[in-house]
Amino acid sequence: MSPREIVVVALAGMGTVFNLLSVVGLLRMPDLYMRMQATTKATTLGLLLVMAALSVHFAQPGETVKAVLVILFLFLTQPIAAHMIARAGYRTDVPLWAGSVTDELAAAESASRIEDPSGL
Amino acid sequence: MSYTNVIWILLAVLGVGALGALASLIRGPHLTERVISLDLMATMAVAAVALLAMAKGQPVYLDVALVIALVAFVGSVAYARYAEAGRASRPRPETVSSRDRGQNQAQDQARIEAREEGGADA
Repeated sequence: MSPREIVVVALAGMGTVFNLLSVVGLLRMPDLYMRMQATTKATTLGLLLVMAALSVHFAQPGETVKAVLVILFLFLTQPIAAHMIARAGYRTDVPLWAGSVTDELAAAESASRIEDPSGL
Repeated sequence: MSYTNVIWILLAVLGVGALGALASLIRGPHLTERVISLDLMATMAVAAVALLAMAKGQPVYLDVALVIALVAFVGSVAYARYAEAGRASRPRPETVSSRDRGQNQAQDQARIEAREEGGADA
């Protein structure tokens, strides 16, 4: 294998491993919020590595631009989606893990419920 | 072992991982847990399409990855909005509106009792 191919295989392999680790986190973490931090961050890094492998593989400006677009879009949207799902989970009373140490949102959420008549 | 075969093997490994996400999708007791499983599967689909583009040597597949990344975000946000909207239909004892409703009910009750007492007098 040429050096370029070794780089591609290394990057793609690391990306696949990070994606697999996020699946392990999804299956093994005890509550929604921990599962979410496992899936969101690990897949973002994993996809970044796979896209880097892809731009090294094709080594064409057009493909590199598309790969960078995918990465940029993912880096913008993944935190927003995770935030919205976590908020929806908290507000639909998905329980925290029994060993959780603190819930700083509890006071703020009950206060906002009293102030805001619509409840939204 | 040739270079594209390694990419195919990585693709198969990613497929096994997607099965794990599917298991979580079936298991997760709450709606939001199923949503993050779906979100993870979509992100893994983007990675899988990118690997497929490399294995086949077809850069056109990259457009598919871009579209999946776009649609998955919209889907996740829609699910989150749906789950939060479902909350509004349940009773929330701490809100102003429900407290007002409680006061009105108390006033109504007092009025009814006063009327009944008046009826008993007459």
